[in-house]
Amino acid sequence: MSDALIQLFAEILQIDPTDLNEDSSPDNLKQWDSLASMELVAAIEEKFKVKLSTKEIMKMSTIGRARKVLQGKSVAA
Amino acid sequence: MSSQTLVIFVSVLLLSCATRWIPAVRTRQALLLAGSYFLYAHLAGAGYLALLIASSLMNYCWGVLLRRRPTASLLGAGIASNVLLLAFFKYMSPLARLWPGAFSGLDFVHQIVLPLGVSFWTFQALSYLIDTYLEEELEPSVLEFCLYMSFWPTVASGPVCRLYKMLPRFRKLPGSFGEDFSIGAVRIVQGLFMKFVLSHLLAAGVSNGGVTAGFNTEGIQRSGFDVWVLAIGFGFQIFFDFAGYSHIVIGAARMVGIQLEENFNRPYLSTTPAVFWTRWHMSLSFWIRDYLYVPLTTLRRNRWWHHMTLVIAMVIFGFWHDARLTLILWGIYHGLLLVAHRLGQKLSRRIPFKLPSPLGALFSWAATFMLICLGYIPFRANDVPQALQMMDAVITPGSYGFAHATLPWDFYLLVLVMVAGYFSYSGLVQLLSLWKTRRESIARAQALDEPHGTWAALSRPILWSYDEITARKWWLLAPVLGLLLLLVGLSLLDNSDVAPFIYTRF
Amino acid sequence: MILTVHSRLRNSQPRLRTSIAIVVLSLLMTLGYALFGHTLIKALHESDSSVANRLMSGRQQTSLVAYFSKADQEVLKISLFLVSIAFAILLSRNPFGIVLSVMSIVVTLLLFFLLLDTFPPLASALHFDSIPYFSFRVHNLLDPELGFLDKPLHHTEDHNFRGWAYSTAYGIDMAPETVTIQTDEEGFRNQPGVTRADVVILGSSFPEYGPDLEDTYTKKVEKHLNGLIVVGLAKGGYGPIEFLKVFQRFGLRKKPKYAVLTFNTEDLRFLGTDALGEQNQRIQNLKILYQGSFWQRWTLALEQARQGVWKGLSAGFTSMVRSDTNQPGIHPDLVSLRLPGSPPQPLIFPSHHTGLASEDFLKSPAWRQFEQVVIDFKNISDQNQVVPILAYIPFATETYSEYTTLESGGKWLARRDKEIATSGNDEKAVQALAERVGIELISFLPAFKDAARQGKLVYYRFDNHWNSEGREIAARVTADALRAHIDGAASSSNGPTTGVVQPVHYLQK
Repeated sequence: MSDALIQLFAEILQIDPTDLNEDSSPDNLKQWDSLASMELVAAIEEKFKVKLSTKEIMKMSTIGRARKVLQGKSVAA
Repeated sequence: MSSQTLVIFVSVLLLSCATRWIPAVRTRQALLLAGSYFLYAHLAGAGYLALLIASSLMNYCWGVLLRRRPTASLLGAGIASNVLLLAFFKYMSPLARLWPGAFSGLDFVHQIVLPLGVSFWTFQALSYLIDTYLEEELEPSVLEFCLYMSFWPTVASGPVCRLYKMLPRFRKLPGSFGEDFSIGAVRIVQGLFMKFVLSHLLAAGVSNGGVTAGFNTEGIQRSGFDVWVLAIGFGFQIFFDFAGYSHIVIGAARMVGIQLEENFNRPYLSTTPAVFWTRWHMSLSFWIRDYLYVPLTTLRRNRWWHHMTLVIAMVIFGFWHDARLTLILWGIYHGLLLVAHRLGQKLSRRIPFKLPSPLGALFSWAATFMLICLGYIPFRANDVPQALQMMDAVITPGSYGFAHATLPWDFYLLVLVMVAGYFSYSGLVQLLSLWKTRRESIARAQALDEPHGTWAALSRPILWSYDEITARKWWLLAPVLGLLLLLVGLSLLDNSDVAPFIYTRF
Repeated sequence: MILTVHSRLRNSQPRLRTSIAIVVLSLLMTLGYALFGHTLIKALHESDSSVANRLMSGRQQTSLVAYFSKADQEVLKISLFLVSIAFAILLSRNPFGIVLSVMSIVVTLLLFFLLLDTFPPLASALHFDSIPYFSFRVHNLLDPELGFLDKPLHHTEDHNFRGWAYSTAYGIDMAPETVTIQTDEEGFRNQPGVTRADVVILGSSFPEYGPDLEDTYTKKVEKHLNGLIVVGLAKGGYGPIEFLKVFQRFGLRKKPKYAVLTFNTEDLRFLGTDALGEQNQRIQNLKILYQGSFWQRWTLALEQARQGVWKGLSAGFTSMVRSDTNQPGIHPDLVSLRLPGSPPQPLIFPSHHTGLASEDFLKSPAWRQFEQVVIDFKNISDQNQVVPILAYIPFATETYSEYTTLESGGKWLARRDKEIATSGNDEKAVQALAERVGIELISFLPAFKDAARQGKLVYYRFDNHWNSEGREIAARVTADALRAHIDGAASSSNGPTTGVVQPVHYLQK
């Protein structure tokens, strides 16, 4: 899973996966802008077959937090 | 600025620095809070201090409730109470001016004075409530929360801080004073120079008026060229003013031992409008993104709704500054600019053609810079007709041409010098940091005894002198900083003892 | 925390400790002086001991306040000297660093001076025009005959005018006035394009002073003489010799019928053998300004900047340390003026009348030179069919000394009696001079004294110049005198009757 989530981010943001880590966020990745945010949400919902609420999306401020939210939804993450 | 205010400010700064050596956390926080309240009372009056304390306590209670039961309705009530407070103080008076009928009989509305920093500390409170709702691990004590709301460097005009970043800084013992002091002092001097010398110079002009006079278009039609010069001039005026203020505040907080987040990051080097908003007034921009834009956008999974929320977020950004139609125009302008950029991004992904890298970046930067500056026309204009008139001059080809130059010649020169100076300075700083990294890599190569070629051998004396001078860089910089401080002092004192010499007999 | 500081001091290097010790010593000395210094000096001044005789041998003649000022300056100098020593000791750890700093200071000052010298308007934008060098670069031109001229068709605005002698050290709030000055093609304060005039006004700063052109003495004279053209050829910083040269160079070609030479006896400071020093210094500075090398100009600007800084420091130090022999809490420079019908108000008398006996005036070299100037003025006027008139502008002290109260500062109290006793001596000397030369004299003193009796203040509170009211009264007196000529009748009257201000002429045939 760790690879799957990072792979997803790497694909959408068009960054090398080795440049991403749990602390990657819009504050330290210039590719993660507002356009990318919405694409990421759509991609995560599609890939992991979940529907994210506003509250959950707001919690996903870093890759690590996104992982925690998905794990909290009992998704195999 | 009166000398009394200066004395109080310096005393509070010294007291706060002194708290660095107090090991007891709570005592330290209490002293910082006392200093903050004292300064706030001096600047805004005891009444508004009471309001700040009341708001702090109210929001602390909301936080306690939300921690126990993070429901949307509780959050809504908390947000509503803060927004109502802000709206009452900030927007009642302008609205009464726009619709006098609605407020007839409520004369007190016209006497409402804005409490110092209300926009900033209200937004800090809102960020705390929302973060608590999102179940962030935040457990501030009453003391810590009140300090967060009223911390004196940031209470007046930001940066807007997040509690989860501030709490650990309030709790830990500050590090090396020498380093904090020197970095803080340089930032303060730099900020004072930017705000009180450079910004003032642009606003007032050199001899016959500057930006302020330029926006006085009574009976004068500004040409397209003039509007561009005013736009760029104001762009730098507001940059030096606000970024300068941020430097002062961040420097002061650094001296106290608290590191704040940056508020500006060379915004005029941005290559796209989206990047600009990650470099300009960063604390507020990120606040709007995280607490307004993201939740708003997630309400619908519709592409056009996503574009709409961008515009709405920027309109609110404009409206936050003041309740004026020109600022809402400004918000719409930037919202549409971001949408256009986003559409352009999507389009460019489909098109295989791409300009060669440095050329493409240069073009992108130039277009961004010009469009951002153009946006300052509605931001600064005195009313909507003036804004429209000036924008019209920009798009009318006939209004260009040197025959139509209506501003003083030394203002054109001043703006040119400021722009060239700023970009040269930024370029120089980038070059220096590049050289520093190169120097460090050479040092590492030398340490590992790696073969480093004739270049390194020839440059040994250069490296030696570079090392010697950087080790003593304060000796070089101190006189320059002293001169900058002198200029700041003259600018601040300009309406008391320092009269021009026209009247005395020479 | 005190323990931490103490242990840190004990562990730190000896150089740091020595520096801190010297700074602390300096602070204690200043504090001690602030608390006890003036009291000690006062005690010595009044005592009869041999110590006092040795230290203050001239104390019969010298006022207490003079000792205070001297002592303040010396203490400040010693204090600054000690702090510099402390600093030097601290920095001596790093000689290379000191070299770098000195280089940096020199280069920064050079570059900054170069910037301001190349763009003089920038100097006023950055408020460096408090330094005379830069003010002159912005506003003036060198002239071989007159020393300097104002730049022609030059516009200046000052939004902070409160009087040139104003200082926040006095603790008095004053709302600033905006002063707008526009010069004509020749550099004088008139509307441009005046090629012919009926009356020319000569003098120094008095005729040209005012927030805008309409509120100047010159323009008010013109208003009162409706129909006639009055042109102002006065300039602050000129002396009587320059008045004459201006008349010959600029005045005559306007083909006037009347020439009014206004002056105040302070203008005579540019005459006589003593004043040559000051005059020479001025000319020297101006020469450096416009003809000197880069280094000479840089040095001049630095020296003036240093003087400005020193003035600011001593003013600040004095107001911190001040005490007054009789009135604690009143700044020694302040004067309390009580006019009829008003409560007492504080102000400053930046200039004082000479305080000599009238006979002594006319014997001094300066006055004898002035007499020659007036004779030449009369002769040139007669040759050109111009009616010459001398106009005497009194000092505020001549007009208002008797209305000052004892709640004034020490410096004024020390000279108050003498000033009251000698008020009017300057005017009498001028009268005698005018009689000797045979020129018509207008004196504004009677009209001003009248105004004082009516409770009006005709001078600025923090400036030696007349205010709007004063300009108005003087203009009226001048216009009345001129009208008497114009109407053909030459009248003389002996003094003001109550309520009505009569012009006073001293006409000798």
